[in-house]
This record gives sequence, C-alpha cells and structure tokens, in this order.
Amino acid sequence: MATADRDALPLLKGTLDLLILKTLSWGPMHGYAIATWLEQRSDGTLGIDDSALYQALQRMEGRGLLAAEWGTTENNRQARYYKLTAAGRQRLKSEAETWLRYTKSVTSILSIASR
Amino acid sequence: MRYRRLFDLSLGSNARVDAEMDREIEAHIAMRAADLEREGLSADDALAEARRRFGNFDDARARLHTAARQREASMRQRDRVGSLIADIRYALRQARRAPAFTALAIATLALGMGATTTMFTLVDNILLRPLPFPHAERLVMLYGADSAKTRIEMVSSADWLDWRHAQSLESSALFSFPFRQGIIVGDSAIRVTSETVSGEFFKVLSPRFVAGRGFTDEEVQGGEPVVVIGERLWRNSYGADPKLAQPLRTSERPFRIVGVVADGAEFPAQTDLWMPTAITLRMDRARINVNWQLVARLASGVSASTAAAELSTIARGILANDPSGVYDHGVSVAPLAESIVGPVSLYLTLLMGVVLCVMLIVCANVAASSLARASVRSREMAVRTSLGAGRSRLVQQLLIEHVMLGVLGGVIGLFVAWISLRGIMSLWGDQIPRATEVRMNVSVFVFALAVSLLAGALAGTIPALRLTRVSLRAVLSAGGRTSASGGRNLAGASLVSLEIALAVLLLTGAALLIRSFRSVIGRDIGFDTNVATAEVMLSGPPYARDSLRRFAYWESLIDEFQRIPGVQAAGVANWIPLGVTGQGFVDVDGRAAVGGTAVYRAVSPGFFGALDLRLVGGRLFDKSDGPGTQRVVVINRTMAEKFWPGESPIGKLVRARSMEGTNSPWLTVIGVVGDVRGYGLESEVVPEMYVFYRQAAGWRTTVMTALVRGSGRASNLLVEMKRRARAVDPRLAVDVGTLELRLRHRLAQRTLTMSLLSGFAGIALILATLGIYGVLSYAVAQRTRELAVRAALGARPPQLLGLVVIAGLRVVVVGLAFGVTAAFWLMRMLESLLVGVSPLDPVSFVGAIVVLFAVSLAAIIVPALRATRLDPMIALQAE
Repeated sequence: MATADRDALPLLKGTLDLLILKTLSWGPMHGYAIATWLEQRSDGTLGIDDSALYQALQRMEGRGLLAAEWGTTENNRQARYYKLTAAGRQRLKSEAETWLRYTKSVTSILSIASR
Repeated sequence: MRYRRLFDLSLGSNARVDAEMDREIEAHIAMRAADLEREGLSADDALAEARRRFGNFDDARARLHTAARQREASMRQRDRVGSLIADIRYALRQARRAPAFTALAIATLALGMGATTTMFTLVDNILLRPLPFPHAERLVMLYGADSAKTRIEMVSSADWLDWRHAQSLESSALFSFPFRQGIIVGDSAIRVTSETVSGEFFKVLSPRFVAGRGFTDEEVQGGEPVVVIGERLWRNSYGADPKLAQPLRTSERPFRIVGVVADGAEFPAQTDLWMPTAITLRMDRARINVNWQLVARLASGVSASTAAAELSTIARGILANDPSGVYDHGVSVAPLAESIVGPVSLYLTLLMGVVLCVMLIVCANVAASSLARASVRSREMAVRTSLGAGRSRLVQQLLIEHVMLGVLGGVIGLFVAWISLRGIMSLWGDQIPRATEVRMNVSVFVFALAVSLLAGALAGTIPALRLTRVSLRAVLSAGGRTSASGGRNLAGASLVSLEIALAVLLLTGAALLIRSFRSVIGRDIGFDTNVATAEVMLSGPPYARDSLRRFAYWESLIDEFQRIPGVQAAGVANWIPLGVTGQGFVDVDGRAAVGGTAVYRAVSPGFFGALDLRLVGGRLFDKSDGPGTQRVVVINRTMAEKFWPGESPIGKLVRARSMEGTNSPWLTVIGVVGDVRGYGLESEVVPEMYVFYRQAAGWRTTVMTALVRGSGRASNLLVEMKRRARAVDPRLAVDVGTLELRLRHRLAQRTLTMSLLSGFAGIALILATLGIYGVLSYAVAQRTRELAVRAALGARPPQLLGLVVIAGLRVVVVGLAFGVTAAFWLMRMLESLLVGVSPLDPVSFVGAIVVLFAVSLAAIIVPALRATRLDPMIALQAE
C-alpha cells in the first residue's frame, strides 16, 4: 500500500469533484465506499487523500450537487450516504463532456510522433 | 424537513455540525480498519494505518469541521431562498384565489405609492439635490440688513465694490432683476428674458455650457460686445450652431455670442440672455441705487456665518464713513438654494408629510381588510399548523403575501407618479422652481422600493400576528366559521381608529387651507384686474439717450390705445401692480430722521383710470402738470396714514431718495388714492407713491407697461393692442398680457397646494370609510350567531341596530379624539401659510369632525341594517 502511495499521480484541480460525481452516478454511497471504489477503479494510480475526499464531499453538498442522509451499511454500521441531486447529475453531464473533449485534444497533440 | 434549518439558529448548531462530522470520520476509519484487518494487519496496525490515511489527523479533522460548517451555512442560505420562492408562489396563488381583495389592496397601495413617489420626486429634485453648479453648497446670496433686521434683497454697486474683496469670498458678481429685452432675429423683433450681470458672473457660478464659454471679466472691462445666451434661445433662434457664428443683434448694436448655457443650468431661472456690464464706482457713488442682486462663492471651508461677520464689519465701516449708507446692521448671507427654492420648500415639506399620512392610512386599510378576511383564512392557518407548520413560518408567509402586494402596488404607483408628474409639470411647471430638473432618477426608484417593502411589511404585521394566533381546536371544530378571540376585533378597531385619526388630521389641514384661500380670494386687491397690459422696452436709437423721444413714444402709444373701440382708460407706468416693482427709501419733509420705504411708480395720468383707483382726497395729475411745473406726487392712503397720521398730507413734501439721490428735488403731495395690494392678495398693503412720469426724467425709465381697461374682457384687446403698438414703431417688440393672468399666477402655488391637499384629504376620507365598513361588516358577520340568539329571544330590530351602531361609533369616536388632538398640535406648523385664518380655526376643526362623523355613520349603518334583517332560523342553522 505504501508503494502505491508513492507512485500515485497528483490529482488535477477539479478532477476529484468530477470523479465523485461519476462514482455516485451508480447510486448512493458513503464516503468510505467512494474512496475504495475510486482506489479499485484506478488501480491505485490516483492518490486521493481521505481528508481531501471528505472536504470535497462537504463542499459539493454545500453547493447542492449532493444530498446526504445517515443510513446503515450491510455490516450494520451507521454511515452518511451521499447521492446525486438533479443539479449534481446535470453537472456531471456537462463536466464529463468538457473533460473528454479536453483530454481528447490534449492527447491527440501529445501523441503526434516527433520526427 | 427541508425547512428545519431555517429556524434552527441556536448557538449549538456549530457543535452539532462538528459532532456529525466526527461521527462520519469515525465510521470511515472503522470501515477502513476492518478492511485492513481482513488483509492481515493486526487490529492496532490497521487502526493506525486508517488514521494515517488522513494525513495529520488533528489538522485534517479541524479542516473538515470548517468545511462542514461552511456547508451548513450555505445550505441554510439556500433553504431560506428556497422557502422564500415557495412562499412567493404560494402568495401568488392566494392572490388569485381572492381577486377582489387583491385588486382593492393593490389599487389602494398603488394610489398611495403614486402620491408618495410623486411628492418624493419633487422633494428630491427641488429640495434635496444640490443646484446644478460645481460646489453649489458654497454659493450664497448676500443681502443687506437694516436696523429693523429685515432683509433688503437689493444692494448698490458701490457696496459690492467694497464687499467683493472680503477674505471669505472666493468670487462674487452682481446681477439685475430679469427684464424683457428686445432682440432682432432675422427680420422680426422678439423679446427674451434678459439679465444684466457683472463680468465675474459665470466665474462665480460656472454652469455647464453646451457651446462656447462664459464671458470673462477682462472682456467686460475692455468693453467688448460679448453676451451669453441660454440653450432654449440658441436652439429656437440660432439653429443650435455650435460655432456660434451668428451675432446677437439688438436695435442698438450686434453682440458676439461667446457661450450657450445648458438648459436647467441657467440662473436666474428662465433667463435667455446674459449681458455683461462693467461696474465702476462712478455708476453710483452715493450707494442709493440699490437695484442689484449679489451672488457669491464662499472661499473653501468658510461658513456662511463667518462670511456674514466679516462682511458686516466692512458694511459698518462704510456706514461710519458715510452716514447715507443703508445697511446699518450689516450683511446677511443665505444659501443660493434657499433663495431659488424659496417658499416652495414649505409647501413641498407640508405635502410630503401629507402623502406619508395617506400612505399610513393605505397601510392601515390593507391591514384592516386583511383582518376582515380572517374568517376565510383562519381555517387555512389551522390546517397548516396541524400539518406541522410553525408559527414563525406562517408569519413569514403572511408577511411575504403583504410585501408582495406592496411591491405590486409600488410598481403601479411608479406609473401613477410618472403620469401625475407630467400633469403637474405641464399645468404648473412655470410656477415650480427647478421644474426643468425634475426627473424620476435612481434615488426615486430606491425610495419607491423601500417604501413599498415597508408598506407591505407594515400592512402585513398585524394580520400576520393575529391570524397565526388561532386555537386549532376552536377553529376546526367550529368549521372555520367562528374565529377565536375578541382580540382580532380590537386590532381591526385600532386600525380603523388610526385611519380616522389621520383622516381628521388631513381634513382639518385641508379645511384650513381652503378657508385661508377663500379669505385671500375675498380680499380687496384695490384695483380692477380686468386690465390688458403691454410692456415695451425703449432701447437703442433714437430712444436710448433721449428722454423726450421716449416721452413722445409713450404719449402716442397711449393715444393709439385710447382710440381702440370700447377702451375706457389707458395709461402707462414703469412698475405696475403684480409686476416687478421698485421699492425704495423716502424722505419726508421736516422729518428727515424718520426713515421709511415706499413703492415708487412713475405713471401717466391715465394710470389711475385704467386701474379704476379711487381718489380719496386732493386731485390727480392733470393738464396743469408738465415737465416744467412744480413737481407733484400722488400717494396711497397707507402712506398718508403712516407719515402724516391724523393730518392731511396734501401740500406736504416728500422725495424718492433711492431714485434721484439726496439732492433729488422735493415733491408736493397733491392727492391720495385708495390702497392697492401691489404684490398680490397674499401680501399686505405698503405705502406707495406715484410721480408724474414726465416730471421724472431723472429716473431714466426705458421700460414702461401700458395699462388698458375696456368694456369687455381684457384679453379681447390684446391682438388690437399689439397691432397698434406696431403702428407706432414697428421695430419694437411688445409683451402683452392681463393683470388677471398675473394675479392667477401669483396664487398658483397656493392653489396647487390647496388642491393637492384637498385631493389627498378626500382620498383619506374614502379609505377611512372603506376601512370602517370592512371591519364592521366583518364584526357583524362574526356576531351573526349572537345577534340571531338575541333576535330569537325577542330583541327588536331597533335594539339590534343600536347594538351594532354603538360598537362602530365607539371606534369612530376614539379615532376622532386622537385625530383632533394631533391636529391641535400639528396645525401650528401651517401658521405661516395661513392668511386670515387661525391655525386653531374652530370652523375647520368642527367641519372636519362633522364630515368624518357623518361619513363613518353611513359606513356603519349598512352592515348594521343587515344585522337587523337576519332571520334567526337561517342564521342559526347556518352554524
């Protein structure tokens, strides 16, 4: 685990929010579930600080992109579940499009073979 | 659940948010540790690793607390906005559900807001906004003050030459009374309002120029023929040429136009033409020609009182060296704005107070009719309470309903104000100072918004507090018919009492002004006002330097006018009643020490006949009086009584010091005529003296006004007079009019104030009546059951009637008592506006009380009669 941390890519600004939105598009999750989900999908390449994750969750809830409610996990533990609001869903759609267009053009430039 | 946060503002809320965050972190660490343990770590290592993932745990926790608090604050904010939007939607639905109530409330609010906004626009533009000159607060008028401490508005040029070097003045300039100057545009002569000013005039004021610049003192001292004109004249007669290529021509000579003053920045108001004159000591060494006004700019940081003190010292120094000096009590300094706005500020302040009263009545009225709807809404409130709405939530919603009414009323009120301002400006614009500057600007909109919000909140407070204080059980079990307490009736009653009190106040004020107006109108002005006037200025060759040519002109003009069919008398005077009038100092033979002032008029013999002045004693001018004979004077009765009390003034000697100086010849009094109110009906009679104009060549009069009295209406003569004046000398421009018109103009401000105040009082009366009617109808509806029981038990209709009427009258009498008490204190403020009526005039007070009482009674009778016609069976079954 420690090695994974050292190799982790630093997150670009705004990326975390987009990843959280995408994660929650599968359904309501608590904070730890979001963290593990992201760790698994990125094979540990994305370095996400736990405290940064919760900061982002608070910020996005404050902006009305997420709504939160206390619920019970399958292990019968109390946890705060986050879900997308209509505004959050909207945001995910527009941000994802922007992100894909952006990365596509950057990728296409970077992959031009140099002579 | 959504609105929980709205009222959860307890101090513990931060602690609660922090605790919630901690629980979340705890859960996270526990879950992570459990997973790590499953991967093979010991329990302790797993927990340590889970915490380590948070970085510096304490720091992270503190940061997360902050984040959570911020989240909470912004969510609370959004909830508030969200509930506001929900409430506004709900209020709109409510408004649609009760269209009659809504329409009436919005209409009364619009009326009130319209009146309030109109008056505020006038007050803001005329009284509050600085004059359109840079650093206008430093601009002042300087007046002489004499021993009686009365202000003498005019100063002599010599005085100014001494005062102008005072340290406290940055600059100062003389300007004349406005006069009509003939100028030649193309082939025709027109007359424009003109001012003679000293060279520094535009340096003092620095108004905005739309073209060119002001003339400078150097140009004026050098005798250059330069003038400045106003934007209106420039557009109408000079094609708005920015190069100012065309000269301004008078019958004397051409002048170079160096600048054009922007519309609205002209001073004095309505001036078209400023002609400079170089002031020298030679003009008036003796300081007797007090025919200038003096405007000055105070040096930066100098107060008016400092300037007055310095100038008074200078003035007393002048008096010490020259006993003929006039200002033995120095100089008084008044802000220029005050002299421009003048008495209008009093009228405007009064009317502003009046519209605020009307606005209060409007609020009370809306509140009262809201309360009257309580029977409908108490059920709704009870249902919402039972569904879990808190009281503060309901209060908020009711307040929003009323504020919305207020804002809608305010928006319509802006249109009302716009229309009424246009009306006022087109009808009375020429009577209102700074009228051209009046605009509905940003501050008006801000004011209107603030007042609508406030009015809505005011109107909503009592209904909101009352309607939400309902007993759930009482309302629901009674089917929403009977509502809870007598307390609501008390609220309605106090509102109606308030309305009545304010209405009494306004009615009393209106009655006082109307009675004062009638007393002014009823006064004897002392002369016939059905008289046509024709003012002519004789300047340029051949008249300018030749008094004989001027006399010849006046003689032939009078002859021509007398030959108009139907004309009974015609004469000329340099200063006519109701026109610009010269007042000056007189010496009375043998009593030279007795100072006094009198109105001077140089007149022809026909003057007395034209005005139909009665001869009281002695004789008028006749054929025996001429340029070479003994100089004679006719005086009015007031002058005779003032200077020769108890004896005949005939044969006594008097002289006009201000016109011809201390060496002027003595004039023999030959006759006494009846008094005239030369300054209009509102002013008192002052001493007047009439000299034969042909004997007053030393007055160098160039402007005269002919007065013509015919058999029909004076206005019918004007066209013919203009034609005949052209026949005498076609190059001269003539201003015609009637004395009646001038009289009406003099009364315009009073008429306007009286009409507006009466209109507002009428509105107040109607609103108060509606309020009484509404509240009483509601009270009767509430007492239906009680009244039906009484009827069933044998009460006769008259008894029932009495019951309801007495309940209503109690409210009315309380209102009347408060209103009369307030009027008793406040009417003193009207004192300076009242002529011939005491501010505590019993007729006005009793009249207002009687009118309100009668109207209230009418409003009470209708619901009361309805109560007596109740069929007990039906009424009781309805329950």
